[in-house]
Amino acid sequence: MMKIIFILIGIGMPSKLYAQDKTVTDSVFIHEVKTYAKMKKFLAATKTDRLTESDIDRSGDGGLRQLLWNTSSVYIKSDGGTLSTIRFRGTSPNQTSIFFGGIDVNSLTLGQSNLCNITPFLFDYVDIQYGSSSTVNGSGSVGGAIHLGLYSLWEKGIQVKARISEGSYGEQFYGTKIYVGNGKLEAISRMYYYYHRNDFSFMNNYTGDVEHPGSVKDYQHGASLEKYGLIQELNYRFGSDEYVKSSFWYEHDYHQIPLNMSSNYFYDGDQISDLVDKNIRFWSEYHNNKGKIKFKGGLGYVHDMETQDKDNHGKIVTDRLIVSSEIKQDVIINFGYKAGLKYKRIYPDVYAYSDSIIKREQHLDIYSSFFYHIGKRWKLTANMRQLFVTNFSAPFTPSAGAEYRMFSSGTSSLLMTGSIAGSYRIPTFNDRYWGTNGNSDLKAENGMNYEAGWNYHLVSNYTKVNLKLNIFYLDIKNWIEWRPLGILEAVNVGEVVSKGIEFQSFIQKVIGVSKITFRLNYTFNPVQTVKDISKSLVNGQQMEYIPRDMGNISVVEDLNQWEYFIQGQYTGTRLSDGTERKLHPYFLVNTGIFREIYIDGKKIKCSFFIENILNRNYQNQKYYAMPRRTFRLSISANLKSFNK
Amino acid sequence: MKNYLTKFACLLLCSGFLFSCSDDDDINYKPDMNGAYIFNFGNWGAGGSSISQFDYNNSVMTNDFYELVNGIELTGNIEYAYNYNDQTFLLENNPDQIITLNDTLAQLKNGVPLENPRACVGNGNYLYISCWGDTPDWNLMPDSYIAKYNINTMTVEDTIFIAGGPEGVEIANGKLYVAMNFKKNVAVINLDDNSISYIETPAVCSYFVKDDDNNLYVSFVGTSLDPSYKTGLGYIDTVNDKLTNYSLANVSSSYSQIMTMNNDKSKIYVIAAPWVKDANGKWSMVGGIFVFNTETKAFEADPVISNILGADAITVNPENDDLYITTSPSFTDPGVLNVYGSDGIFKKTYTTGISPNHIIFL
Repeated sequence: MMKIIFILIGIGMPSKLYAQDKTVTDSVFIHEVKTYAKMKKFLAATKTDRLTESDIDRSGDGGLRQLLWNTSSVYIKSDGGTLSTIRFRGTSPNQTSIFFGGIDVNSLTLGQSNLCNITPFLFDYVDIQYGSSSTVNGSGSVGGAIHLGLYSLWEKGIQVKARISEGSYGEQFYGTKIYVGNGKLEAISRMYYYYHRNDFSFMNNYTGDVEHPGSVKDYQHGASLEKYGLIQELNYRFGSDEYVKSSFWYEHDYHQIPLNMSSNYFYDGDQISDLVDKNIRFWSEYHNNKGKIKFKGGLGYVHDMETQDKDNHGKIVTDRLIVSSEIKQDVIINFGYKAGLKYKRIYPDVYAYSDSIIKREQHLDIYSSFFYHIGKRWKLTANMRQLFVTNFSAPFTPSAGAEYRMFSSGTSSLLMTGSIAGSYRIPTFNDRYWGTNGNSDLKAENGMNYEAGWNYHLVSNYTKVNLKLNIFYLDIKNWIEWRPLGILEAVNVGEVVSKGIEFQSFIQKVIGVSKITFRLNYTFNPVQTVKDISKSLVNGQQMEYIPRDMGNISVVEDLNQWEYFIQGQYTGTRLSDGTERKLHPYFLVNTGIFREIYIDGKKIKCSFFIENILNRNYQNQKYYAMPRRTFRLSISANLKSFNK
Repeated sequence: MKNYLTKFACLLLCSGFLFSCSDDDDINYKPDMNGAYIFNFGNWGAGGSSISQFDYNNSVMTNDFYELVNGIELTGNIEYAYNYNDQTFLLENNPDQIITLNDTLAQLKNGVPLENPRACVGNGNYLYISCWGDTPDWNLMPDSYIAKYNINTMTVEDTIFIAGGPEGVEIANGKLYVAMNFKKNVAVINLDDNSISYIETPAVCSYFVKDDDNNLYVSFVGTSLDPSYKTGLGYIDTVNDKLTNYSLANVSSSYSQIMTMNNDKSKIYVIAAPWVKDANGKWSMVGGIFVFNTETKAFEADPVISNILGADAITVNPENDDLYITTSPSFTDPGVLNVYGSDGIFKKTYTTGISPNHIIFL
């Protein structure tokens, strides 16, 4: 492993060293600090990473899957690139919330999102919030939360960004962002089209061919994707402290359901199943920060629809109406509070739900948060939240956090953090209402997250360093699973404990004109069932599809108008089921080069990427191949004209 | 001369070595196959299917038996297993195919593609295989059919379209009976002219067992798409296709061996999980094995075995009448085989593969 690290650093090292002011990765550091300040005001000790536009640019166009994969040590289970689900700190996919404004984009029926259906290009940044945060985010934020963010510019002028990519196996991406504003009113349109034939080659070891045993080169069938989306923002600023922001997001995602390796080998051209998701999401937020008491009000609507094989009888539809309001006040300089309400009215229209059992459901969240600073070293926060759901009992959820600044000089600081956070997830609609299999007696999943962390910052003229070390212990009771108990049924099966150590490093050094950014992330995450209705499952085994070890490393060099990067990503052994079957560990290397050119003062950026440069065969879901070496060429333009 | 002798000796040694490694020897070697074979479905779409061999004479369970015999994993999901004419046929999903195993469970030829095969029954040189079609419409199953498969040529020679999701199949009096799982019917196909007639049933159906008079018992189940409460058993007089219903609450809707006859065919054991009110007045689902007496044509009041949830398959050991019941704790973890005496007294438990759905005695 050390060899690989040195090779990566070696490749990333500049051959010429010059002094230079321009920075690409500056933004990473600054945004991260800002994010910390905003998010941690009422949630001390929360660990948050901001992925910026440069991270998004470097991670391809396929979806949030690629972005998280390349930049974080969060495990993504994937079946060949069309269905990808997140395993955050050893939790299940429906224990991670994904937010767009005040909307949790996770399906209410399944409780999770396909990360391939979320295209990072549409957003300006993606925040990853580690650990339980239900007290601020609501149901579902047990393992973590992801926030898809949009910036407001409040500038007078026009800006057009465009990006075109062509990649291996028929990958095409066309996207544009158009900004028009007069400083008070701004309209931002973001749209994209993505197609991926995705018939990649791989070595098939699971052909099931007894007449010609052995592995053969095969090509993936039934893994194509086509998607397009549009986000239209309309924002208006009444004054410096009062504004309203509205965004409308339409998303259309089509993907085939890939064949496993053995089916793929024997594929004879039969029709392949597909899934179509159509989503309309609208979120509008009014902010009034003029008075001592700051006010925020939100209004949202979500329409989710999914069909399989164009079967309209089997449509799965939910509609949501969301209204929220929040007040916030810094009573004195070292004490403040916020309190709010969030109301949701949900109308499911699912062929397997009986109208006599569920026509609509209402949720009301009531929450409050407090912060208190003691001197310059201590910061304490406390939060509480209670959700009320029609015909369902949700737990009261508190959390508390503390930060202690161990030292702080002009250039460096060391922060020690600790928190105890409750979390919960109410069962999905399918869990409760699906035909005769839904279980109306389910209890909410109930988690408790204990966390301690150390965060070291160093900022000097030529060097920036951020080192984070976190340890956590997440205990989730009333874990929900579907089990074959007489009938197939959703049940509270027991209790799961996820423990872990996370190390993250960010080191940036300016050497002459060259700026080198080095990142290393590593996670050690044992996850075990500690109680189960079936005693045989309390056996000390690592939970399925959760790697115990995972890490990534990257080196980015920014040199004049060039940028090079190389990333390495290691995923440890995973169990694919409760027998001894395993998925082998793998190490992938991606690399890319960017070149900025100016034509009539307009910036054009060309980039060339190679993913999985070592051409590894690997799997993230048993018997589903993943692509080997792929190439991508992108051109993006940023044309802007702002009046000062 | 000495040279020739040396060469001859070398050749003799080599040939001895080659013969000892020949395929013929492997094929001719016939291990003791006497035992119960448990066919584990695995994890849907993610493999994990396997065969477990249970040597009940020596109380030894050998898991991953297919892998042991054939040297490769089963990568699909075994939906149904059927022994006929000294061969074992596996109906597999993901990929959808029929796999033929010889009398030692060795697979010598590749599987033959089918479209969502469900269950089968043998008649002469043919298997009649219920299939749901290539891409099933889960509401009505309009494209489902019966495939007539020649076991000698390993080809599908004919298809009989029959909408409504055919599941279990059985042959009696020259007719093919098909349990429809997506509509409330048993379809009756006249094998002389493939004409189809239907017997109305109170709920959707899953599987058959046959008595010594060639009459059939069919299971009525409630499924998530057709949640009927009129579950139980139906008795079909195959001479006149008259149906008589015997109700039993919550008969297992699993796609597995949910019922079996004992050796003298006086009893049918059925997996069910009726709702039971406890002393505190709380209702809960209690799984058990219920007994239908084929002579009195009635269910016994109490289950022979109670308090088992998640039972997948049941069968009876043909040598000693022991009851073999498999259960699964989840969809991805190993199941167990529980052995009981015919009186329902528990004897021993053994670990199997994932979702042990069918058991065959060889």
